[in-house]
Amino acid sequence: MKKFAKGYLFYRLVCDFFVILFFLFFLAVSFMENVRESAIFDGNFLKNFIIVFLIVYLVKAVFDILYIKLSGYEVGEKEIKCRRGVLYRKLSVLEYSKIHAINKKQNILQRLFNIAVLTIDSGSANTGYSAEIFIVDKSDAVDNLLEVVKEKQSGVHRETPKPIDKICNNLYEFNSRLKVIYSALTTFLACLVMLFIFAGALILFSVAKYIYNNVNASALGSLKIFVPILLIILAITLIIFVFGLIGAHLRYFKFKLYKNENGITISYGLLSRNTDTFSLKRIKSVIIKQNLIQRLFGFCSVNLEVVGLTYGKDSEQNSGNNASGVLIPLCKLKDVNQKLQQILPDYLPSAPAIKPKKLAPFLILKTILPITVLVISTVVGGVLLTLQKLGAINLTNGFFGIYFALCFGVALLLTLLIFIVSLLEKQNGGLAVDNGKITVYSGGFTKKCHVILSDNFIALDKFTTPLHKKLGAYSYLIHFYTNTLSNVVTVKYLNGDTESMLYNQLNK
Amino acid sequence: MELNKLPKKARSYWLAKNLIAVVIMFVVAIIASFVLYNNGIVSIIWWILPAASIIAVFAILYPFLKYKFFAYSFDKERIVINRGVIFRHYISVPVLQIQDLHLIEGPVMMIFGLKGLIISTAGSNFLLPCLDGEEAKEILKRLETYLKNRIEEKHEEVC
Repeated sequence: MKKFAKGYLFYRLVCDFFVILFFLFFLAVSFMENVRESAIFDGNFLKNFIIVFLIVYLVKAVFDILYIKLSGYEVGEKEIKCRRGVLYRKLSVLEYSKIHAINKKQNILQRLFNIAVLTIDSGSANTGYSAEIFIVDKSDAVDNLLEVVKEKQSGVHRETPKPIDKICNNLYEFNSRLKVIYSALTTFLACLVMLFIFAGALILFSVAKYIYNNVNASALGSLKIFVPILLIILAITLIIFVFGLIGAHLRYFKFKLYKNENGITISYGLLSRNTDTFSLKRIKSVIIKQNLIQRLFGFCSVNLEVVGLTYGKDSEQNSGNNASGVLIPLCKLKDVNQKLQQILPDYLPSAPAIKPKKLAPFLILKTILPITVLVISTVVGGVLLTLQKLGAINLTNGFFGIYFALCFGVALLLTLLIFIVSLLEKQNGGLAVDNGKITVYSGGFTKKCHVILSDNFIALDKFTTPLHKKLGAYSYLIHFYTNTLSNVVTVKYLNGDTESMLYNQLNK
Repeated sequence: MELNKLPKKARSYWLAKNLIAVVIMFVVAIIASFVLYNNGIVSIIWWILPAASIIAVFAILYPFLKYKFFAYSFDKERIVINRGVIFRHYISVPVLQIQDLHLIEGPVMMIFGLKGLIISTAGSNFLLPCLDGEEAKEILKRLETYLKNRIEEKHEEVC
């Protein structure tokens, strides 16, 4: 078995140095009572700190050395093997035919030591949050290994494996202009949410204060806090935009998208360079997403659902981060079909042939409003009584006034929000069933279009409530073959006849 | 396809489970009321016990409704499960999509002689709860046979 690169040991030793240093310092300061700043530079404290640090670091260093000595990998004819672990030793064997995703990652520190991480995943539910094969070697060795594994997986032999960018053209350019637009749209959305929350709170506060005080000063009272809060929101918006812009440039640095006979390769990132490879057979659905602000300006993003791809935080043991599901971070909606035609022609979305029933969202007013009023009245009443009893507030004179104002205000806002979401779902919803493909339109504030091949359609769940059944409105949960994190798409308020159409696709 | 009901023991099992939960809830409510009373907070007590009683009534009625609206059926091609009281689900799973089948049995289920059957597909699980012990095993065997036959049929179609 080939051992992991020595550079990985140095990388781990450097990381351990800083992690242990900060952790011990934080612990020491937290547990010391009445610490003065000067005490930290006291001779005794420093001496003890250094001794503890050295002991912990040495133990960790020995562990790291053993880890490197005991870990390794082997590239066989039919499978790839990987061994790692010191106390809990694990030998993973993965056949090439079972590979679902191959990912290469390299952060800034790893680049300094000229190493890279290769993770290979089979999409097994048992390893839903970490890749099965984890290899660390020199950067060029990992590049070669990546090509060798892809060849063995596809069965296509190439004399000398070439880097992907020498073979294929980049299919998508995520340039600076698009990154600025991407950050601006995200910031706009965050600002809108903050303004909505502020407006709601202001209305509630004004109504409650007016009823309680029964004076006209409540309006002026609201204005006094209005301006400073608005300025705070503007400042936060600016900060979100600046950090968002920096984040977009770092995260999607040199974003490249290639396609060859092995599948699709997506490469991106500055601080941590990710190269994700997906076989075409492992792609289970394509999702076109549009949030409220993107819809206003005609933009969208395109994501992939792939068996075996994890959506965990960016760490050594995980094969991807939130960006790993992204195929196209941002593009104009009118250009999506053209781009998908180049990349994944089987996944072109069809226009919705079946639309939701018109009156379905209005049924919510019959059910949600009374339930919301009942629940909120009980909760708010209980909270106010408790606060009154504990002496935190004194509501004797205007108790019922403020109580009803709060209940009514909150219930109304919530019902309005739920109703708006239902209307949007009715507006955005739809279904198209073609030969071999199902296109599902769904979502309220974020509109989604799922394109699923019929081969990946596993089960159908039709659900309704007694009120919706009278209207002949049913919702369909389409279960499809993907990772355990998300495998159901819902389309709401369609008629009952849709079941037979979907069921025919299910049996294909 | 004719739908089958669960055995009547299933209703008793769900009722027994809920009664255990209701008893625990009342014990907690009484202890909480006692603590609040000792701390001088009396008015809240008038909310706790009535709220607990309302929840207990729902907990006792719900198993009867759940039993009434649950039905299942299966043949060589698909499995159908209807469940839910307010949110009613009509689930259809092709036999060919079955990956594995599991029988589960908790301690309270053992007292009633019931078993649950979990049908796993690639990505979703579906549950047939509270079947008679022997019936559950028989259903499992039949589904395994149907699955094997469907795979052979599909293989012949492809060839």
